[in-house]
Amino acid sequence: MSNSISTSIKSFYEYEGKHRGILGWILSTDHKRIGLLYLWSMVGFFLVGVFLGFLMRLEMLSMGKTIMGPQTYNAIFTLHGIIMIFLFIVPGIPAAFGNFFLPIMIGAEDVQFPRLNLLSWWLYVTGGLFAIISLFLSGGPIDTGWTFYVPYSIRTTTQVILPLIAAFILGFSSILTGINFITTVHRMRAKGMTFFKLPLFVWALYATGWIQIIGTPVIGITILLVIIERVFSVGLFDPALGGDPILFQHLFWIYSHPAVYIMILPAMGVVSEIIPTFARKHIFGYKAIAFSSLAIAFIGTLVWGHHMFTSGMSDTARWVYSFLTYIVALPSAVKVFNWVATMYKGSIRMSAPFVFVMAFIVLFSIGGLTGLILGSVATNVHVHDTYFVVAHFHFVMFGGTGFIFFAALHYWFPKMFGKMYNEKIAMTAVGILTIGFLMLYFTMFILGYEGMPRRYYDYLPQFQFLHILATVGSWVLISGLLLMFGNLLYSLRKGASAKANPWNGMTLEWMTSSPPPFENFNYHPEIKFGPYEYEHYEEAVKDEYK
Amino acid sequence: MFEGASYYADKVDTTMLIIVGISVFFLIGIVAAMIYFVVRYNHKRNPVASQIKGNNLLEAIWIIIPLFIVIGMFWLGWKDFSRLRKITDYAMKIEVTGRMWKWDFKYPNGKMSDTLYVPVGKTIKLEMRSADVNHAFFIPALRMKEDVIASRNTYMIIEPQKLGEYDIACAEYCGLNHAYMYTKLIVVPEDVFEAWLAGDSANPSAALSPATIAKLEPKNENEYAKFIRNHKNFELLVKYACVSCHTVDGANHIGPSFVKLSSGKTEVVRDGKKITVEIDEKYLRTALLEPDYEIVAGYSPYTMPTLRGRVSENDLRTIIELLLGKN
Repeated sequence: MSNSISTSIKSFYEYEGKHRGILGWILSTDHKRIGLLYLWSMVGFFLVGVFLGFLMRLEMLSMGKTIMGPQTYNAIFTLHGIIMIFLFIVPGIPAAFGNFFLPIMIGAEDVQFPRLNLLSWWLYVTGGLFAIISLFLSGGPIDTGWTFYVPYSIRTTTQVILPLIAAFILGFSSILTGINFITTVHRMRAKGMTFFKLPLFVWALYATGWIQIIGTPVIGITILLVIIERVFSVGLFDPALGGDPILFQHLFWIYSHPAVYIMILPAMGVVSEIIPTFARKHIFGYKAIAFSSLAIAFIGTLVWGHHMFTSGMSDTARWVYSFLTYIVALPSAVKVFNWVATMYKGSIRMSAPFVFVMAFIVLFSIGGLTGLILGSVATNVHVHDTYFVVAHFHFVMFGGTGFIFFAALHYWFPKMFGKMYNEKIAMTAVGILTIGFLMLYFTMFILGYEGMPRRYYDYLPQFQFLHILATVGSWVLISGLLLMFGNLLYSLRKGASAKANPWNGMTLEWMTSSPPPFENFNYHPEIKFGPYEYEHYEEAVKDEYK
Repeated sequence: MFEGASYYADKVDTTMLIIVGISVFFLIGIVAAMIYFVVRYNHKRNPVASQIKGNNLLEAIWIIIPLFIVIGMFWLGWKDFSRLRKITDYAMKIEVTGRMWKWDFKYPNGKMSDTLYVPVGKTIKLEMRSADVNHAFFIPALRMKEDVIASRNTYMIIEPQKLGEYDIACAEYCGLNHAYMYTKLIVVPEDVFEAWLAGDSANPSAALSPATIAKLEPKNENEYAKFIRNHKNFELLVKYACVSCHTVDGANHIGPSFVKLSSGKTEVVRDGKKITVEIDEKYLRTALLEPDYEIVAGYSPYTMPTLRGRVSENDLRTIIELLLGKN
């Protein structure tokens, strides 16, 4: 029955606006089209980032030179960081899935400022292009690491200014998306959609929006200051000009630590959607999860100093930041406990998105728990700037946000594209990804504790075995990625049509056709029940969406 | 490589093990609960879900218990580190300069070196500065690291307690040859160090033949050695500089290793005659107060200073008990 519905209503793909063809996409203010524009551009950048990571691991396969020299290696790890962070993980889930689903989930036709939304995608693309163009300009590819630490970023002869401008522009894109989402949540909720009936993904995007607005301007200003310093030789951060390099680190991490939460909070929101849907059960501790997002957003702005335990800042600052860091661990733990508790007495269907979430819970827990080692000053000082930290943030960012990006892709794929993929292949891909992931990154915890510093082109003989293991792991991981993306691409063309509500979800995006029509609904949604009140499933979901 | 070269390193490892232990406990709990629920409450076994919306008591429990745990972890990590930072009573100050891409060390008497030689069992303050960009002075074996920042002086206090040769790396990215900014920390007995420091030789390893260095490498640590090294009274062996000459890892050094005591008997030379004596309280007391009365076969007399007049009866008894492997 749902099939007949989706064919009788024109989907947003079929809707004809002012422009046709490619212009119908890149000039569209439809939040769904913008979401897909983001999705495609981000998957593209992600694959470039993966390729750079692959090259780095290949270089580390043997001691000395394997495939490239040190200058190339330094440029590649810098670009890998810049692309993965600024072009994939930070915009990531909010820009792609948030854009597509936030308005639908609150029963709105679009975001509050559709044109601003399009502008933020254009800023994103411009930033990405600047980053790419910078590779070919005088000086060559930037080699400062994604952290741009002064004074090296002032001294290096590589092209620093254009990538900085790119990061500045990308920051604006992020701020505008944040403003748009916050306003949309406040102003555009459908009738009956109170704040405590918001799906938790929306809560997560809302909390993220605030961090974007509060944190991002700091990095924008810092970047401008570095550019001013480099161009006009004004002494701000460079000690040779009377500046203070530690000041730069503070300003950098005041943004870049909260940015970690910009990266992970939306992913946590997606998890809070997927588990209830497949457990057919009310989320455990709705308010605890919602408020823990806000707590993370707030406390997360006060812990940046834990990136600087060895920087020579005062010992008082060291213990204060260590203490606050431990406090911010709590709301994340609360979320994990609530997710697992949600499965208790559920009626669980192990579909692909749920299996991704299970892998996420394992990997993210490891990432979070190793954060405790990094929060403790004594152990941090030993493993700071080693492979241990590299392992930790890949567990949290890739095992956490990355895996949930894939989970979201599988969860909402039928809705976004109206096609179904092969679930068995998807689950095989999760298995391969997880094995490769553990081989690649768990190894790095050991390397780090043994004293292997990060950003090293070469290594001592005692590290060789683990480096080989990690490199082989990277091949397994990439095979998993290719299998997963291959499966999805194949389904885009040849997959069976998807039902309107393939997972029997209760949030609003399942109560419209797959793919949704222009302006999302062919009726005016009115909300009587909370998003996870499965006891009211029969009543809440119209027959054509069951 | 996991082996530390100071008590501080051992303490960091202990803190690490405690945090890892608690983490593994939680990880197993979370994963086991998840797998159990997924199997037990599979839609085939449990077609209808029970709509449980939450439980305030549980929320409170899993906020408050972790709160105490993390405060404990915070304290563990802070107390050892802050002790090291607060030391003002150090034996020597060495100036460290980091530059792209090498380390220089300057000793109080003006001697320069590109390798860090230090006497064992002494507290040393490293005053660090950068000649160009940021670096970080990283000694994995001591579990210590501190950034070396342009325009600022930072410092690090080290207490190497184990003879040997250890890596020093740069841990803050500093450009092209960052990965090659390695040097060595070489921990030597105090007299060897003094000889090296006094020598004006441009070749700093002159005082240290490769054979000497090889002898300093830690070897076969047994149960007895572990007991001694981890014992709370081990501090006394450092306080009285015993470990400067007697290793606890079985390696022969200026004197015989403490590990030899665990055999219960030893061959000594008394009045020019070789005899075998039992290692008991009486033997040790004599050895500590009248070191030249009996000399362990193969070692030279008139090397060890007596503890007489320097040690309280209490400490003496504690040391003897420790060496006998008693608690």
